[in-house]
Amino acid sequence: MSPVLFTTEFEVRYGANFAVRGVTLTVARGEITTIIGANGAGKTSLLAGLAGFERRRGLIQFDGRDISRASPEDNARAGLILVPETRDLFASMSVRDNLLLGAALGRPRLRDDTAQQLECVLTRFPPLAARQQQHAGTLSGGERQMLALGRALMGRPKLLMLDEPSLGLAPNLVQQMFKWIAALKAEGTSILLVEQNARMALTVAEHAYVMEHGQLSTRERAGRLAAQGDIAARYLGRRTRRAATVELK
Amino acid sequence: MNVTIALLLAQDGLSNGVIYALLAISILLVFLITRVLLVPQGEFVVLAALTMVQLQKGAGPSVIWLLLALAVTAASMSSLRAWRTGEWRRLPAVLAFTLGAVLFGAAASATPLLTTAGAAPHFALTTMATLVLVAPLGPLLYWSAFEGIARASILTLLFAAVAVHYVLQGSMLPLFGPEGFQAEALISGRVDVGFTRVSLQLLLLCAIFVATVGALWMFIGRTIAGKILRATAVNARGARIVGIRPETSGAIAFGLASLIGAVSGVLIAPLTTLYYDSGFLLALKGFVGAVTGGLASFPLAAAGSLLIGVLEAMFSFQFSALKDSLVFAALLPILLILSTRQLSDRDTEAEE
Repeated sequence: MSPVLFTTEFEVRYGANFAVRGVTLTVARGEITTIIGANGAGKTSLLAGLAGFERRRGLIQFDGRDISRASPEDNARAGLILVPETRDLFASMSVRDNLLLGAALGRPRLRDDTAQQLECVLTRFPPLAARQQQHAGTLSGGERQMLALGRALMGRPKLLMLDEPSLGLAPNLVQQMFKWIAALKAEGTSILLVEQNARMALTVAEHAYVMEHGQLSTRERAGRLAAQGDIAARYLGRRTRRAATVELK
Repeated sequence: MNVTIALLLAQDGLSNGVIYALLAISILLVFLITRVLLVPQGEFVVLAALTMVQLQKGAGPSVIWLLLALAVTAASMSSLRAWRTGEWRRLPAVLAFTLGAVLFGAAASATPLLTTAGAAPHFALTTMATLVLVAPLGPLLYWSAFEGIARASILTLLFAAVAVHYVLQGSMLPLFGPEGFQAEALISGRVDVGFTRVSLQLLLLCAIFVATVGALWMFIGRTIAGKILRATAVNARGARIVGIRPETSGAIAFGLASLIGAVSGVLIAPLTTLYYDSGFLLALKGFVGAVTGGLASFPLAAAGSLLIGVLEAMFSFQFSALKDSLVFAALLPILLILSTRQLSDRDTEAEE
């Protein structure tokens, strides 16, 4: 089956500085592909570039079409939906309106069952159902992340691009967030996941890349990457420490 | 000044204040969505007022030439942009609107032919024709001058707005001539309410103001199109993430501004004598009103505008030569208060 997203020689530049360069990336259909890497490696720029926000070059193919020059709004309408690190919710509008706007301009044939989709999202995220009339700006960090994810789901993504979904969440919520992500995949949504929490990301993902200084490593099976000694040492700090403790025992 | 005079002045001031409030609301709406300070908003008002006068006299409306010129510019600029970016999807809608505006405008220009010679044309007919001729100017102006620079800085957009204002004003001189015009009153007389006599004109103005603001509020707050517009104003990046085109929101915002401008023009036409260049001062007062709302709050902007109208009426009675200077001088303390408030806001944010 053809990949849902494919790029070659992809780059994002801010003036003369490359944030992302020479990136070849493949996201397989129905899988979670994760990109791990340190802060400032260019992960956020890569996702923003793919969504159409930054100045970029190179080929991007999405769902079999060339979207190298498409605008963010066209990409969103086509089902390439970004959940940015900054969430970018409509703070002074109600939770319900935020969700409805997620579906307002989606693919036309899907607009008819917006009500059903809303029901589905509210069942998935019960805290949002309780706060439908509340302004998005009054939500807690975890609820905001739920809303950002819910708003994206309202648009029926063919590929969901998640930028640091677990950032700033309480530990129990981080677990919950990864459960939701795994559930979405099980329902058939393709996901490109950018995470600093590499350990969790590698457990849910099928394939993984490591990003360093704006460049991507080669594509690896997530399990194999997690087992590599140097990756484990550099990005999975806690686990190696635990492994070391086990050895001592 | 005794109480009777003060009450009459207040009524006069409120009539003008209502117009300023409509201007302030349009300027604020366009600013929040496109970051353009719409200096030419005053021109929409004057164009509508002068068109109203021409139609009442049974003359052909000169504004049709401006409409045609803007339609040609908008269509060619949009086509050029589509060709340069390879993005053709939006063009049919733009061209359809432009063509529709020209056709309806032409039909509206023919209304003087409908009334028999000698008889005054019906008020509803001239009002409708004025709205049809002036309301489409906003989107046409947006596609002609602003869409191409939509991502520029606020300062660039302001310069563009000033330039557009001068172009419009310059073209209005040959179209309408240098004389001043005042339309016939829609309604005259006063009604006794006990402590004073309220002019029916003011009551009508207030009713139309409430209806306009109410309709706008319903549109923004209740319809999905209005929510899309609000989303652009609240978080432009978030709006693009859910598939909202900033260009579409911009064109709708400009359309609402020219529609409200046209309504204000119909309302102000019988109140005062307007010249081809009266628009700038009107827009400036609307701007002061918008600033009293901190360029953020619609209710405060409307309240501030009403206050400006009343102040202006009082000042023009007491010190008529200083009327405008005093109104704009009132802006200084407002800005001072707003800026200190914003500074303290920023401090609390930083502390958080």
